Amino acid sequence: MVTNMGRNYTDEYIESLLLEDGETITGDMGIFFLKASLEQGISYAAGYPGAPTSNIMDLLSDSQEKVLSKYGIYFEPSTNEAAAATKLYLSINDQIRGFVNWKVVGTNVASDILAHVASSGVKGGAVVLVGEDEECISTTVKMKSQIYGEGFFLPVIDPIGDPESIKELSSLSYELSEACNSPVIFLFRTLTGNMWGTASTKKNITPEISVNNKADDFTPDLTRVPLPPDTIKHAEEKYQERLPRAIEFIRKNKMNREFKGVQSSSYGIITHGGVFNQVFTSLHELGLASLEGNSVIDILALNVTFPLDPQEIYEFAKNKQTILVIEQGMPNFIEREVKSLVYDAELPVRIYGKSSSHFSRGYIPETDALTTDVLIQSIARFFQENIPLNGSRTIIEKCLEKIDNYKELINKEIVDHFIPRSPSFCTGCPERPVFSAIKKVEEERNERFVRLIDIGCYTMAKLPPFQMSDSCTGMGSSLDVSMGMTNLYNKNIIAVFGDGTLFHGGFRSIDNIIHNNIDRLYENQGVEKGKANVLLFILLNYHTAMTVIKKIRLHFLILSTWIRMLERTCVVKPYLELTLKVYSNHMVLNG
Amino acid sequence: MITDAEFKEEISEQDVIAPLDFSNEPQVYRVAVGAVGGQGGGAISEIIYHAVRFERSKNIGKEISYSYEKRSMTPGLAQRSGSTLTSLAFVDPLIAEDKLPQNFILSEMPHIGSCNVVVAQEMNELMKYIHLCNPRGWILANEMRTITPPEKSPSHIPLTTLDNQIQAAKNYIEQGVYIGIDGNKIIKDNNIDPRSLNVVMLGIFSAANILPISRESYLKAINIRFKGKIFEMNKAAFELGETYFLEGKHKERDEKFNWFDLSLVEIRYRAINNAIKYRRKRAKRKLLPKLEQDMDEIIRIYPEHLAKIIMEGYGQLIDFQDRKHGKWFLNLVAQIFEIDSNEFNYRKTKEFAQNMAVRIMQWNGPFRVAEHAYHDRFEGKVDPDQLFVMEKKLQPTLEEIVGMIPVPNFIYKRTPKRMYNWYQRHLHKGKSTNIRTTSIFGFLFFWFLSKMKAIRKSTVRYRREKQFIEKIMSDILKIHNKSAMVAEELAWYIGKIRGYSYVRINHILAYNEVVNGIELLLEEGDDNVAVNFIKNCYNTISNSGEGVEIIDDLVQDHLRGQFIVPLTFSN
Repeated sequence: MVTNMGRNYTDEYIESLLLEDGETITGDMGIFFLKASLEQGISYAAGYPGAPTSNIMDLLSDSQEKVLSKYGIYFEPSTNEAAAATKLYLSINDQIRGFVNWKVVGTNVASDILAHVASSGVKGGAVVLVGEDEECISTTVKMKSQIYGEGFFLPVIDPIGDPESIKELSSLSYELSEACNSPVIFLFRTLTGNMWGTASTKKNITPEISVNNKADDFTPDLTRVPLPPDTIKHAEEKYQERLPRAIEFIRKNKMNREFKGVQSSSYGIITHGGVFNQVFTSLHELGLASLEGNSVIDILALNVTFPLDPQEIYEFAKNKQTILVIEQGMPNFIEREVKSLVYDAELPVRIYGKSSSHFSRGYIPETDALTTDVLIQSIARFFQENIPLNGSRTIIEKCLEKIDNYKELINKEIVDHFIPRSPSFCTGCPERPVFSAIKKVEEERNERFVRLIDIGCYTMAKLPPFQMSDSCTGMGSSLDVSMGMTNLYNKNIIAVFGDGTLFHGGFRSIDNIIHNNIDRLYENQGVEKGKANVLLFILLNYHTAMTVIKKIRLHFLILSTWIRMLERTCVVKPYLELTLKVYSNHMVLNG
Repeated sequence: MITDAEFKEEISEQDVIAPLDFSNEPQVYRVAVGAVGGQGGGAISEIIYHAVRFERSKNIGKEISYSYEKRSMTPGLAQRSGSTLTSLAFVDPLIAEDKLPQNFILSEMPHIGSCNVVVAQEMNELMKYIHLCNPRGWILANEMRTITPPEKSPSHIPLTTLDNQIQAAKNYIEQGVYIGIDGNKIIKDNNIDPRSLNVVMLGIFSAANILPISRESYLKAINIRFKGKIFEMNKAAFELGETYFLEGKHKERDEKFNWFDLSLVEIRYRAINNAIKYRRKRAKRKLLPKLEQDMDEIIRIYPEHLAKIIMEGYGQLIDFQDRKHGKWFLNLVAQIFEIDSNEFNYRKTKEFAQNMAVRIMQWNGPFRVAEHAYHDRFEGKVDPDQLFVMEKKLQPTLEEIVGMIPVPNFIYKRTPKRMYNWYQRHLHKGKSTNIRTTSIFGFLFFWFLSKMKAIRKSTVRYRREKQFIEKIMSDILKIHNKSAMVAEELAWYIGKIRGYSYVRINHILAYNEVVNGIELLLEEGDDNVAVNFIKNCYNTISNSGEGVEIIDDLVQDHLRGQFIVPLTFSN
């Protein structure tokens, strides 16, 4: 249904960002995070959109007129994550708060900037909102952002999927950042990011330094510039000062939640925010916990997955016989950390975790998404094998039997009648005929090109019915790959960019090729002029949807200059006739 | 670290745990909405979310800031026509404030068998998410299919049909309630915006009392989502959904005619009605007593299940041509019935009657295609699938068309040969050999011919068809003399012969080859081998009559004893 063309949030949702003390806000978690940020008085927000947090950029863009401009917040829909990450610099010298946002794989792009900012440390609260997607529902690569958190010393908050606590933790993340002088990674998983709920609000704060009220002074602290010998001091500071302060803050504000077991405190489960709800629902299904939060055994839910508080882990593990660590995906950072802490403390506790563990039985699947269905089986097995049950055993068995019956019913009735729906181009998508045309030309020439497809909608060319993507090596890299290929393989190559990808990382590729080919062309070292076997397609629609940029003509001026330098590439509009025409006119392929 | 043995010793009595008491726990409702991108599945869950909140605040008398309801979604690659799932979990909005729990901890994502309601706006999505529904819950489904990428492939073999999916869903939810609606029909009949179909489904939610939410709360929630004119449009759609459910229209599809469930009396009435429906009053008066007499006789002679088929065929043939034509059919069936034994419940007669009635009328097909095309173009009321299938298969050739033009009796015998020559010359000149039934000219031509019932009997095509049927008849009788079992199988094989123009010619060629093969095999003396041969042929010959060349090899294989017993058996 259409409400406002070109907008995702109605006025009511936008106005709810202006609510005062003690009122109630309703909406998705993007609204909650932004509201919490406004309550903390942010001065800037930047990002590159990507599921599962693509709604944040929409929200910022929709609220720019009514909300952001009112408080003088600088909003930047950046062309890539690295550009967005550079805004964190604003928090280094003055007490300016703000956040940047991207999806999990975007952290890789921004990691260079993050490493430097983390070394400098921040004065004002800075939060990196990352859309985590370990189920790979809308992401190409399965990975964890925690690896950067631990590597660069950026505390990682993985909130429990509870609207009230998400809002509270969003606020605390700014304070934590200031307490430990480090940007904080705040994770929104697919389920959390798209969840809706209700929470109470506080009054928004107008930032001291803002677009409306620019600062006149700028006195940079030069010791914060990450260059030796200061860098060495920064590293010392990270682990000797900032880490203890972070741990103290986490402890003081009780950021992690502990649920006392109503029947036994000899056993425990340690889990983290992202899967906590699923763990609890599984226990509830097995008759071992109530919806209200009463569980038969102790549960420690870590909202902050890095750094862990050794004291807290020690207190939890002290009188336990067995602990199950439930952690989503690999590497199992939390499990390793807990094990090492317990080992250091010489506590007589058995700790179980991933099923891949070499030295003990594990219960949790290594890389599977930890849905309730998966966890019910794992937790049931853990209870049956490790905990003496009185009456619960039959309940667990009954529950498992019930689920088996459901599965049997589904196998009997449904499985044969389900046709899987793989993703595909939208009906009428103008990118579709481009690939049809490439296939047609391949047929005519009786030759198979190497097709290097980048990241974008057109990555779906890998799937049926086209099945013609040979690579996917990251945003804006297809042309770079082709230059390697063309020099080592005697093959004709096609590289494809979308316009979003072009602005994200494509210019870098083009630059690289011009840089390398100027030598080749004029010194006659490699491929002769006019006979290179790479053909570049840029699928333009004069509106980069992802980067929210509408006036991009200027970019095309620059682009066309570059294209002139790139004599053997051609820009193609995504229409069939044009594509074919271009093929027939500009066929510069070998053979 | 401690060893396993030590570990077991340390377990003391007090650590034994018992199950928790859930008797005071409030009722929690879960709803999952599966849709394809663009259908508005997200709007359904969003509106229910707001409706629950309104209902709760109405019940308690104030707004609560704690979330006793959660809505989440996994959009995935939710491009247009991509798969999406949104879900909702909430504590019963009708319980008192003091009974509300302190916390509400529940997974955002439903798990197997946990949902009270699964809403699907597309059948394939229902199949995908049906496992989330408790078998005692509710399913609300829009019984339509959008094509999935695997189905777009030219070499696609349909894995399942819409009807199969509907049946599967009904089997799954046997202990619960299944509500199926025909969304496309609702849109067409009521001339509403297709985008508001999701709100129509909400109307059904309200009318069916699926969730503990009042009508006012639903409307208030819709007003949150849609404003102004769009709200009015959606309100109308909501009310339409309510009346749709209350008038029981969702049951219409279930009550759709199932031929075999009708009683003998009902089929008798139906067949007579079929036969005289389009006659003039005088003709009706004249025909009715004779027909009643005929029907009674059929009921007297044949066992019930045969009588049903024969009456239906008789009625349709009279509608197609006249009573004489129907009588001819009755004679044919009577001849077969005479030689049929009761061994397999008169299977031979059943197969023959069933297939022959269709066979005799079948060449009327192009007219029906044209009619459908006409309706589709001007009235848009024809089932698109049906039209598609018919149009693809029934493109008549020029020869076929010429065969439908009446020819006087005295030149009839020479006509086929002349016609063939003319046809070849026409081909040689490079002129078109197919006629598009869907063009206006094609349609008018066929319409004219189809109305000429009186001259139909003098067309070349009619006579040739009659000749062919008599050949089949004599074949069955001839083979029956050698083996009754094989004749039965041959009667079943007639069902394979279908189509028009070149398809029909292919099938006739194949049929002749099969009969020759049977004769050869029967000379060897083994009935079972011949039966297997026919079954193999039935499976080998494609629906468009291709595969004639394989029959010779099949015969040789069967003669040598190298054959595979087919897995599919005729009933």
